[in-house]
Amino acid sequence: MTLRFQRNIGILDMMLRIGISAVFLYAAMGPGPLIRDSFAAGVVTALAVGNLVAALTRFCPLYMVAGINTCRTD
Amino acid sequence: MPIRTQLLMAFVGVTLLALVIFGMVAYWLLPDAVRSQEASMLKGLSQRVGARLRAPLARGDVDGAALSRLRERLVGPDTFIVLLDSRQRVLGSSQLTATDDDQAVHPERILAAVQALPSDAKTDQGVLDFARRQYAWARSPIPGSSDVVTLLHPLSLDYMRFGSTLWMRLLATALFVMWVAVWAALLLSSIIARRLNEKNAALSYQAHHDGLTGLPNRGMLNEHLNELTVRARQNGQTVGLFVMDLDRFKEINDTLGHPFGDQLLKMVGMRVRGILRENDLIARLGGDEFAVVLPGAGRKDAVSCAMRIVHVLERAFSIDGLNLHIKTSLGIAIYPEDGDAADLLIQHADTAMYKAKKSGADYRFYDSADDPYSVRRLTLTSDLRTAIERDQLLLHYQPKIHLASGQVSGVEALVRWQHPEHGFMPPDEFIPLAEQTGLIGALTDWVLNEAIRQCGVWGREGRDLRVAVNLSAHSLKNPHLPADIAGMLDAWGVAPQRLVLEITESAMMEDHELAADIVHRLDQMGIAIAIDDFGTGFSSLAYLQRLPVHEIKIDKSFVIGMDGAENESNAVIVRSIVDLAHNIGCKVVAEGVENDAVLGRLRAFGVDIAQGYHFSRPLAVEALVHWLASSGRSNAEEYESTSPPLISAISRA
Repeated sequence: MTLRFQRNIGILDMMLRIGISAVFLYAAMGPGPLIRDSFAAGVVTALAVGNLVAALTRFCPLYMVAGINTCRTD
Repeated sequence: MPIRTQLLMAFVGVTLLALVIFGMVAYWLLPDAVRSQEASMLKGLSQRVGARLRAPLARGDVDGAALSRLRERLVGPDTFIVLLDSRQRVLGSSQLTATDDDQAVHPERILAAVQALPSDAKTDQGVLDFARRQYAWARSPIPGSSDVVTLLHPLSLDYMRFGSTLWMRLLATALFVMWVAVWAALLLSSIIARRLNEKNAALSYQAHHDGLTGLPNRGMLNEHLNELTVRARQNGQTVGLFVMDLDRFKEINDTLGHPFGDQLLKMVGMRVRGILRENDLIARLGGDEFAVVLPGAGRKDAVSCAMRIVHVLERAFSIDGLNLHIKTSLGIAIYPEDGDAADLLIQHADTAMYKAKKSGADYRFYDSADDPYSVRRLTLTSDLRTAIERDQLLLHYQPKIHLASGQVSGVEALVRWQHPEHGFMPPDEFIPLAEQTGLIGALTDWVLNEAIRQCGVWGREGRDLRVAVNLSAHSLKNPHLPADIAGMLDAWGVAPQRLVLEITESAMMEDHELAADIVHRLDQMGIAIAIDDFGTGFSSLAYLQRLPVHEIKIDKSFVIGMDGAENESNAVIVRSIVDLAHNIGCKVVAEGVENDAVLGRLRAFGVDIAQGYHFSRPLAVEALVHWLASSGRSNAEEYESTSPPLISAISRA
């Protein structure tokens, strides 16, 4: 099986992911953080960063495995 | 909803449910856990405080200020220390820090509550519940005295508030678990969905394809044809359909074995597939029957494709070192003129295929006249039934001349049908119709009865004419035939010796045991049996020899052939048949005698009886009587020179 890093995240999907990541990051690290606990903040930050990376590269490994593609095909 | 979405939703649903249950359980259990933890912490503290108070108490040096100092050193500012004697009297208490907290409980109430606590030794920790605030408490006896020290600490409910560490951790964990759950669900569901799709595809392939050849099967042909006809209707296109089968495939299977036959079917499928276009479809209908669908093909395309198929199958098939030649018959039906539905087209192509097979042609187009279920055939069938019931049929008689004596030895009865609308119907059209529709029994009965009746009439008129009647294969499967004929002979007062039954070789061979039985019984009744169209069937001579046959009628194709290009070979055949017949003790009748030259040679070969247009065509009763009066009684020599050729008077024309 060849791994081809083909785009599989559509524009809308990307925006959504960036939005969610921003909210998470703000909650975990923003000024006067909403999450004071460092463990919880760590988990949320990790999730947010992963999501953000996927959104910016427009490639989600999970989508590839599951055969999902939210790019507009037409 | 696709299976993957369902799986995904189920997974996420279960995870959410688990998270909610987990959260709720944690929420319920936490206060209890916190209380018991605080209480046991207080218990430890109270023991330490008790130990510290032992000496000062012995000195009588304990007051509120001392207790307050102890509190600062050992416990915390919001903990409350109360010292009670054995009778629950307050010996002293630490200062209750004055707070501006409006939920604070008045110290006097706390003291009263502590005094009211059960004094038994076993209960030494718990929670005091005031309306607005809860206090965890624990007490320890002071070693060496009967006094008891009690510590109280307000329970904090901070952990229950949103935004607390607990909440944050719960939420973060839930988020993480959800993330993992979605991952797992997507992964699993995609694996399961892929497996399922593979299985489904395999199943649907099996359902739509033939196991042996791998070609589409009848079901898929139907679906495909249905789609095509729907599309063709919209676009005004045509669709060509062939149904083809291999001639004598059963023989190949029987003699060479089924594996051989299977191999042949595979090779046929591959060859035909090889010459078809991309969009064409070849399906195996079962047995040795195939169907080919040609989208957009009209009659011309169909013919050229049919020829290509015939051509490609003409090449020998080499299987297990054997070279096998096969022939196929194709039936062609074209959408829309030959049927507007898939099943009708297939049925019509099938009909055409049988027609092609019967006539020995490579291919045949569907023709509603051939179809036993077409409207014309249905009306004809019902007309024929009416004609039989109402005596609208007619018998014509063709004289048979005994060559040695020149006498008319008998006549052959031939059925004629004058249709009220369509006019004269050729026997080779309505007799096969009768055979296919089951009317042949009634038709044979009618002909037999009419011929025997006429024979009886002639007998009473003093004419000694033997009447020959043709029997079909169907009659030889009817065990009541001898009894039926005996009844008719009786009814019309005709001697059995004056009846000749003509049977073709192939009719004799169809169900040969029953046929032989019937023929033997007819013979015992005294009826003469003649083999009709001899030389065209494939019967075993040894078998024929065992049958009580009285006459052999040489097929007219040989007799007529004696006058054509291959005259010598036909003459050889005729002479051989004459010799053969005489050797097994049969008389020989030559049909289709049309001129003097042939008649001369037949006479030279030793043919006993001749029949044909040279003498007379089949005649109606009155005409026959007239013919007999004018020339029939003359001898053959005379007849040869005087009779005009009657070919021009063929009734069919």
